[in-house]
Amino acid sequence: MGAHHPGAKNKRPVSMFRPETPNMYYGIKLAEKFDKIVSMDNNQSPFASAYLRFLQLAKVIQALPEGQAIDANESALLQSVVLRWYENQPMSVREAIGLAELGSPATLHKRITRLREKDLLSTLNQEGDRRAKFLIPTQRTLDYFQHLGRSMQQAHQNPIT
Amino acid sequence: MINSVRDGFETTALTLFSAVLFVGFFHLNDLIFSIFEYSDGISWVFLPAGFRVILVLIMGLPGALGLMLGSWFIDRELFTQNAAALAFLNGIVGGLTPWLVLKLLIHRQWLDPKLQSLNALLLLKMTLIFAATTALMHQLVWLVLDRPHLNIWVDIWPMFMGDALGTLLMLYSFKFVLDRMSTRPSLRSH
Repeated sequence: MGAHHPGAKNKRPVSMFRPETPNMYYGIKLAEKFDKIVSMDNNQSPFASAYLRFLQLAKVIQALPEGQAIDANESALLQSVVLRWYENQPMSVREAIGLAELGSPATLHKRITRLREKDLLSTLNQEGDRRAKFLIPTQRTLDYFQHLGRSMQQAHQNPIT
Repeated sequence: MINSVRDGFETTALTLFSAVLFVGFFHLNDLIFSIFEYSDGISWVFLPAGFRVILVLIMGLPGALGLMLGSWFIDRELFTQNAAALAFLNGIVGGLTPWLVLKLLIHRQWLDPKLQSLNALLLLKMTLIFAATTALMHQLVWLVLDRPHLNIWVDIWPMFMGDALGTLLMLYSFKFVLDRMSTRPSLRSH
């Protein structure tokens, strides 16, 4: 059964499932490769595991909080973008740099770049049209708005008398 | 067989690298922050403490052993001045305390060995925990060994502050460098 395809002999069975067609054979090959990667992952050399932990730590260090997360202008732009995203009509970059009440296109372009550097905005390309780029909030932004929402709720529940 | 030889070589290299970094930054700290020295061996800003967090998190036990070797190297003169026990225990406490704290955090499942659950807040908490435990352990060792002019309830604070400030300085310096190294996301990219 398992020897229908050349090279299928003497292969370590990865499951009770036996290859009946070439597609199944390649599926099993893929599963074996995955198996190999997983076993490598659990048997890393000290250098490799130190490097992987370094990458993980570097990511965390980059996410360390800064003194001032965003200024008032960036906050206004972020709110406009998130509102449009919330209304299921994500704002395109072209629309964002056209928000005349918030600044000139060049200023807004820089502001969007800064928000992206701070991991508060990311961009999404429309399928089939790579020219149209939409601005969407990141998880960090959603957490930030959730925190603001909770703070407002707390302030409402505990009003200053 | 080949794998165990390779692992042994890499572990030794990591240990020595950790020791060199610790000793190097100890001397750099002496050079830059000597005015912040509170008393012999205690400074209000202690940069090498940053490596206690970073090296132990990245390298694990080899990192801790490197810290211990580095500490022994720094205190090498004490070994010949009838204070060998102090120098020896200083190294043990400085190197192994952060590693034991790390093991405890992993055991309590507050952290996983691959650091996948580590986040910025936890890293900041760990900075404080490492600083507090290391300062406490050092002071306890000095108390047990009757180090002269010791006042544990007073001296522990500069040591804790020095370790915490030093670690924060190191982490934010790394952040500064990493932020500059990472590619600036441009709207024209992708």
